Amino acid sequence: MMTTATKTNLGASKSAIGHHYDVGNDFYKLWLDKNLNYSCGHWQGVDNLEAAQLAKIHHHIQQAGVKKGDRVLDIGCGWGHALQVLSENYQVEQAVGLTLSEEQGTWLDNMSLPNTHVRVESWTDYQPEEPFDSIISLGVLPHFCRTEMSVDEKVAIFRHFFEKCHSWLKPDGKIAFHCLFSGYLPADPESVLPSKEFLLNEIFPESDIIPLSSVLTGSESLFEIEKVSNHTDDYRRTCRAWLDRLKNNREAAVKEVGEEIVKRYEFFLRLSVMAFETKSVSEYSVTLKRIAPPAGSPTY
Amino acid sequence: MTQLNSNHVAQLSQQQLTTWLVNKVIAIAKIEAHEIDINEQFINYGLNSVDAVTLSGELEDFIGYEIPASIMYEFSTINELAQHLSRDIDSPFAIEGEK
Repeated sequence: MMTTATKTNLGASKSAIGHHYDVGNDFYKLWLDKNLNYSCGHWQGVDNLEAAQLAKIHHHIQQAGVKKGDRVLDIGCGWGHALQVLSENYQVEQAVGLTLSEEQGTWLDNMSLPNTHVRVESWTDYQPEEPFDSIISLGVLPHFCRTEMSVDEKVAIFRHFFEKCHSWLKPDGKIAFHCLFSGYLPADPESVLPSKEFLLNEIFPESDIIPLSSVLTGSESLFEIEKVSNHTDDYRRTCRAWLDRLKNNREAAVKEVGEEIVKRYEFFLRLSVMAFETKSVSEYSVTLKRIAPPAGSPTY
Repeated sequence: MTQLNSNHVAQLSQQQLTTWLVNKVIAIAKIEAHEIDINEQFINYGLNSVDAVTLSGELEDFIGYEIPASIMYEFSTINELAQHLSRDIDSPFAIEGEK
């Protein structure tokens, strides 16, 4: 079942998200894996994109401590592969997915996954009816901030995000997320400005690439860090696999969305490969555990 | 070496690679051929990260096998890059293609 809400959010707007994700499902089918995962796959021990994406989903579900009969929230659920895995492999009581993309919402509605509820709604407006055991969020945090925001404003947004997550989770509940974060700053930052402008204007409007420290600062005193793992080279390999698939299906892609959009995505994917090669962008998976100081605890 | 599905690996000499790169830099920097010094850094011709990404893609299509998207940062002059790629192609891992 799908629910659509229409309030505003703090980061990328619905129209900005639609700019990227509503290009057309048939276009994405030509170069993503068969389940349309659109974030970093985990390649350790596997040699194909489908297996890498599935390994990524299992990693985060397991890091979030999901058990049979749990209630799980997926913030930024995309085309719903994690919801499907939760429903089919982990026998959860309910998996709830949030997305801002109407196309993804309709797609998921048509999948009719058992024990799954999808809402086209921002996390800023969402109000769950019952608490969750676990939260996962795969590759969406850059959409929470806009590039023109100050560091303090970005930290405040993540503070707000983690306060929400804290209030939605049961005691000892966990959140497992991954996304790309800003990394090495080149000696000549001016030389990479055109590509950053391209990324934020043409591909991901109203979003930003943020440092991991801003996210973790926002979680302080609400969550403790259980695990941080680096997957920068996994994301390089994922983007390269996407680029190779797009090139191999180029004729069909041009027929679907036109030459200009295909060229824009080819450039975007190659730029992403370069950003991961040079470590100017890094990919981390993070697991946080909800903490709640006992009543009467000393304050420092 | 990962060969691209849609292309054959071209057996290109250092001179052929140099000529190709010189023509590309002339086109991007909008300068005359006599202004090119193959030992000058790409960045000194005004090439930015967008140009580096575009050029690495075109270069990959030209030579027919996968190269790092950041190759122009690793080999930062026409001479260094052409020399590196001609050595790469001469390696025992190269797949001979159409000449």
